[in-house]
Amino acid sequence: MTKTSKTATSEKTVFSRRGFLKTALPAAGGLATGVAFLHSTGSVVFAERAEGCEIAKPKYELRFDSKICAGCAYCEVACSQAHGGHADPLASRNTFTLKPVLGFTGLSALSANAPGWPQGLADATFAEFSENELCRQCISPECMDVCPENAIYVDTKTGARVVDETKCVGCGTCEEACQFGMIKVNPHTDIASKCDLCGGDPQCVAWCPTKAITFHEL
Amino acid sequence: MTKEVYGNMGVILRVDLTTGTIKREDASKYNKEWLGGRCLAHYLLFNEVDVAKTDPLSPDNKVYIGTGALGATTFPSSGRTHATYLSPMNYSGWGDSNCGGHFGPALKRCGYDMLVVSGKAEKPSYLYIEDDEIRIESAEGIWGKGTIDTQAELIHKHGEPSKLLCIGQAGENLVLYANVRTETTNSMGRCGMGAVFGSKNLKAVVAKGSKPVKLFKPKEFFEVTKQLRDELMDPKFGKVHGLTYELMSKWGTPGITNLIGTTGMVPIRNWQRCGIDPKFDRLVRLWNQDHGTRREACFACPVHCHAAYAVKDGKYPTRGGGPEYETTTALGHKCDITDDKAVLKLNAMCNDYGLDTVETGAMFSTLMELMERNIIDKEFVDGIDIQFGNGDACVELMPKIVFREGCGDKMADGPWRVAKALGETALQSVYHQKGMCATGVETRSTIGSMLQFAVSPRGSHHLNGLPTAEWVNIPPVAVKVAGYKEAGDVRSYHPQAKARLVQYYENMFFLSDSLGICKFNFGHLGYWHDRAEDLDHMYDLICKSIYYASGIKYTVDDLFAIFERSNQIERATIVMRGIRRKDDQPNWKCLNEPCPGEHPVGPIPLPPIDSEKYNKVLDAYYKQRGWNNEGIPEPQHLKKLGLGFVAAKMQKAL
Repeated sequence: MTKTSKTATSEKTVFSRRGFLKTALPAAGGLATGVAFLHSTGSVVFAERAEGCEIAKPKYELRFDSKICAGCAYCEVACSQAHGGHADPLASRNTFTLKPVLGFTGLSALSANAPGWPQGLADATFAEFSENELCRQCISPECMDVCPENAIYVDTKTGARVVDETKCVGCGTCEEACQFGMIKVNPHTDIASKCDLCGGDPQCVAWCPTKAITFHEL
Repeated sequence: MTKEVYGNMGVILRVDLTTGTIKREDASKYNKEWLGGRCLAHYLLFNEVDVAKTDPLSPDNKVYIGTGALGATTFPSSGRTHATYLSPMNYSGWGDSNCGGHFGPALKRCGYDMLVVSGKAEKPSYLYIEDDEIRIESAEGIWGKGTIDTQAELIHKHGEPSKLLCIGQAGENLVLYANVRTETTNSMGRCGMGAVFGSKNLKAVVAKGSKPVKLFKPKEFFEVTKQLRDELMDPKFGKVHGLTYELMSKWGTPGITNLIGTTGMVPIRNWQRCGIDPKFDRLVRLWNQDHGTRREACFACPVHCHAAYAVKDGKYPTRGGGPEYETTTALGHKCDITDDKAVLKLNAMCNDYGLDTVETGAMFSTLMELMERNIIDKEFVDGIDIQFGNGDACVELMPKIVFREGCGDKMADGPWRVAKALGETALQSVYHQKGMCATGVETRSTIGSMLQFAVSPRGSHHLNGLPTAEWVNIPPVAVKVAGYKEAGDVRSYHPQAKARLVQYYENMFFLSDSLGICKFNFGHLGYWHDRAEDLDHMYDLICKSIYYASGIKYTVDDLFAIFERSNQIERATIVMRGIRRKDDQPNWKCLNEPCPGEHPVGPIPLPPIDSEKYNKVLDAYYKQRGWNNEGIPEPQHLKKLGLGFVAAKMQKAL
């Protein structure tokens, strides 16, 4: 994948968004404001960035529909080969999880031979087969905020937050910061990897046979 | 093992359950000569096991579970796993099974091309593989559970990236047609591999891998596999090709039942009738329309031919994966059961108990026919009213078989053994070859399929080489691969044409099994079969893929030479176990009874197989393979193929 030129992020102040939210600074400028969705708690927090700290918003995002997904994991293996060349499960930038016995996991005595319809599952559709975590390209990306090497930049074409592999030292600070687990240091290469939207031609979308992963302009 | 290995992982993992020893062996020395997967497994089994004498259920039997050079990559449908072992089910003793799902890639990502399991664990155990860490763990708590609960508990314990092969209660109780399951839709179905696992006290193999599959030319590989993926999905690639994708991805294998029935190939009522019968329509697509919940795919497959279903009302509320064509025909058509809910229930039961649906269906339908012919009475089946069309009776009988209770004990040994104990007349009702009943194929319909089923080393099964060009009925492709225009004529007994046709497809089917890819997409179905040159195009892309993945260059002829050698190993093994020309004869029904039924192609009723003409085809086939009149490989011919070691071992045993 060809990398596009970096945005002017050299003056970006490194700060913690959590600390920023706590102090609840008022917006200093009238320019773009950021919105952060805290998925883990389900609550939505509107955050504004101090002037000079703004980064370009993502222009595209990937969406995943688990009801259409057939569970082939092509997204995972194509991602790793597109980026690292080899079929390396740890080099994949999405985390694809197959749930082969969904509806049964964790619930005992639900074998197909148990008489009757299992309690509590009467309304289950059994339509979902897999989970797929894709990078949200956060408006206020923690990975970018905490990187001590300023190794994460914004791809001007797509707005993707991209790891500059020449700068990354593999310290793992980003990995700890991302609450979605979408940036990881690959132990085989010692470099952090995350979704870069493939420069606008995401390979997970190109290979997905059922169109369960889709690419949307924001 | 320090040199860089591409495509393959370069290691064979050997686990002996008796001693608990774990060994690793360099696999790369075998790759050029034996590819991997099925071919390599055959070679190793033949060399390492006393194939002439070993009891398949003894600790001396070994199971070789392998992937292949293309496995776990972007190559379309690269999620297959192959296993070779000695089979307790058929009387030829040859066992090989293959499954899809995600287990193969998981094993490969642990760093192994092949897993060899030998010996017998003292107590019920399961094998846990996580990269370099191998443990034989106690199966206490999961022994006695079905395959769904077993998977749920082990995945719960070891985490969701772990994939596993496991057996259900059928395998534990050594039901001879027990299978090995992975996920909700995939089985290593035939030949009783589940019983072999059970005999080793092996409940499951769990693999959780994180190693990269290194590719020799990653960029080129990525491009050529994308081309293959796109062409597989391309409706304009060819009429048959496009239709195959459309039907398989939408309806899966049951959805093509009536296409298969065109020549009368779909068996009905224990092979008493055949062809297309609208009364079974609920088993073709309607079950899926009403109860299907989603499509499921194996690893890296663009086709997603599996389904999942949930039946919420009626007598049998149930849910599960599948069923495949083989299941709907075995438990539906062959048993004359038209109620899809009963068939879906039976499918879910088989899958959870770990029973081969094909042989289970044949067991039921054989009993039904024996009952109809008054050879057995209700007492024989402990008072269960096992009659054609009675799904409830099957639901009632199955647990008895699985737990070997009462009459189920003898039925756990399969229809051929049950009938054999009853005498010659009873055996006439068993539609088998070499003691294993046929899959959903009426072999009187197509002469090539008759030959292929009869000479198949593991008994009556289509995945050993059912001639695609013949059953999909594409004469130009048959002419190309066999060299005679008669090869494409479903009714022709032309000796050389049919012999060559069957030899070609038997060899071709090693291709997918040895590379870790799906036979459906590369040989068995209508893909790449519109024009004669489409096959060349497919081979070209596959050879390129193998080179870009592994760095090993093959021509199609090189590959077919490996397949020919592998086939000779299969034959030598079963010959050493006593198989001769008499065992390559069609079963009684094929030879003696016509088969009525509606179908647009071919005569109605289908006439019985003409023994004289058939034996001329068999002669030609033996000659083509370099076997003598009794079907024994000629030692000189084996040596010419570079199989001196096979000739030596075989001659010693004869």
